[in-house]
Amino acid sequence: MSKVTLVSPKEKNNFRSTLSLGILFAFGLCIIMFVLHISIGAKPLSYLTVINSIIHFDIRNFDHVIILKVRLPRAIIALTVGASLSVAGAIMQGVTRNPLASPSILGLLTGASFAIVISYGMFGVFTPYYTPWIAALGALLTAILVLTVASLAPGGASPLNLTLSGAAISAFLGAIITIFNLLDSDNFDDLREWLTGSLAGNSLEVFYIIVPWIIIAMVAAIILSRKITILGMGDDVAKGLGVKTTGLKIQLLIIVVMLTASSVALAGPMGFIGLVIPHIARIVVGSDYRWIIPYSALFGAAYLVGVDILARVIIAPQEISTGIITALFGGPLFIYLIKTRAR
Amino acid sequence: MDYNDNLFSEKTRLVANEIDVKYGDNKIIDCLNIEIPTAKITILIGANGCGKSTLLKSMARVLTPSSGSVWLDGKDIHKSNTKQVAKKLGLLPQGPVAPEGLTVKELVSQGRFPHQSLLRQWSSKDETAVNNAMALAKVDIFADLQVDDLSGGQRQRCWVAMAMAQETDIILLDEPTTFLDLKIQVELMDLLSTLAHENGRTLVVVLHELNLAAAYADNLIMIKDGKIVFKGEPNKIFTSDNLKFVFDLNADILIDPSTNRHICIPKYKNATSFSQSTEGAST
Repeated sequence: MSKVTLVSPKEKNNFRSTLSLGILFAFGLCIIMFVLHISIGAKPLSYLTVINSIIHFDIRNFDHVIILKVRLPRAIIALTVGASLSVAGAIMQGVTRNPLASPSILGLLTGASFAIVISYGMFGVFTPYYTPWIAALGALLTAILVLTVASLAPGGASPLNLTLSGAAISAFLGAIITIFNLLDSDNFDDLREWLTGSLAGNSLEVFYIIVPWIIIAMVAAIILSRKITILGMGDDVAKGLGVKTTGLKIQLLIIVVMLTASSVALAGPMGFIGLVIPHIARIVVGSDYRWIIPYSALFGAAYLVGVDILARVIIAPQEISTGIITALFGGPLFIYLIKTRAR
Repeated sequence: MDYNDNLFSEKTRLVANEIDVKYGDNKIIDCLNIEIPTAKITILIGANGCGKSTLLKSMARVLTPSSGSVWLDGKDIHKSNTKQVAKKLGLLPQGPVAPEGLTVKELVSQGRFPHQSLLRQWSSKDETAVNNAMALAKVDIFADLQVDDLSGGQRQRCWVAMAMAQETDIILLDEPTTFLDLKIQVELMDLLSTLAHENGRTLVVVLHELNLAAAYADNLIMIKDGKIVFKGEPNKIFTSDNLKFVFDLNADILIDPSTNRHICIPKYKNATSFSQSTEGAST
């Protein structure tokens, strides 16, 4: 008899239960980061105060007020943005079969920002009620433009063509944003920090508007995750297995646009999270999207909250824009991933 | 007709009726009719670009004909519920690529997708189907290795296993023997023959290897310029004249004395020639 049979069904089940346990672990990591994030800051607060303020809030307690009005919103936004961008990136990498796909590389972040900057420059609109929709429109139109340009290139919408078309359109829109910046620098001051990806001084106003959309998008992503794995085997295989590929791609594009636009509306264009986190999730769970999606969400949330702690303490009492730190860490991390995973 | 009575002894389930298929303005398939005999191996051959892959994809509902229709069990396949069709008809396209990091068992498991739903995820029936398919295709020993790490031939067998795990009565395969050593090609064709003749599966295979096609086809179909030009038993249509007409190939047909099968030997222009003397035959 052959001795090469590697894993018995029992061990296979073990792998699945390990992954289920891992979800709990990742969830725990998010909570730890969340509490740390709230307690660390210009005025250090004890963990007990943090937990107390959430369990029984006391309006006369100044610490409790700081937590509820300033730190808690910021931590919640960091969690949401981190999870959304990571799931958006994971979906994009699966659908385009392109390990470099992400909301930033394919131009969606710049597209969403561009739409917000233009509407602000032209109409002076920067109200929480409209920004998510303007961002969504910008991200959707950019995605369609990037796809169209890539399909027109010789070889069609290949991973390389998509990446190049995304980079080119992103650079072009970025240049127009800079022109706006130079022409109208007074007004632009309001947007400058936001454009680097910032979590500072954001209230929960925008969050309340978009949270139902984010929940819908996340649930839809998990429901469709099985089909994303199949789509990764190519359109013909997927169609042969009974997947309606065109409809599925449109559904996934809508999910990606919802998640990206929500993130941009909350915190500006936050680079590298959508690129790096799905790769880290894949190293842990393999290539089954039923696991990649939830792991990306939790890792992304924990990562951005962690990075935001650093953004607030590195040059305290000053702050660095969180987006700058995500790139500062994400860049080298990505180079490391390329080096270790290169074949 | 070239067909003998035996070929269509069972009810025909897959039929294409006057289909035209176009890429843009380019007509690839031209008013083509085809009936697929049940529980037999049908092999499509033809020169590169003749439309055989396009025909296969159209029968698998991956491409939609611009006119005409494909019928599966009396229903228009392009208007049927695609997931229900996937329980009856499986497709292995040409040169599929597995996502990075996918293990063999995960790949084969994807073949169970049509049998699952949100509420009915993984069952013991799925597990059995996957294990059987891996054992049949002899990839069970690689079950937990990554598909990327295997050789071309091993990978191809994983894909065949995936198509088998789908447990469909009809399987369409586009050049499943490409990149395989001759021995593995023969093993794969033997496996397909078993599936058809012992398990009653209906197979439609696009092949490039003419001799393999002639050896294994119950029903051989030759395609030229988007039309079927010859069809029938290999021993009737696998002739020198037909190969010249279909492929513009000058070849002699030999008959294997032990099996009566037709074998083609191309007329090589500049190949090494040996005299019939005993020189060199030192055994």
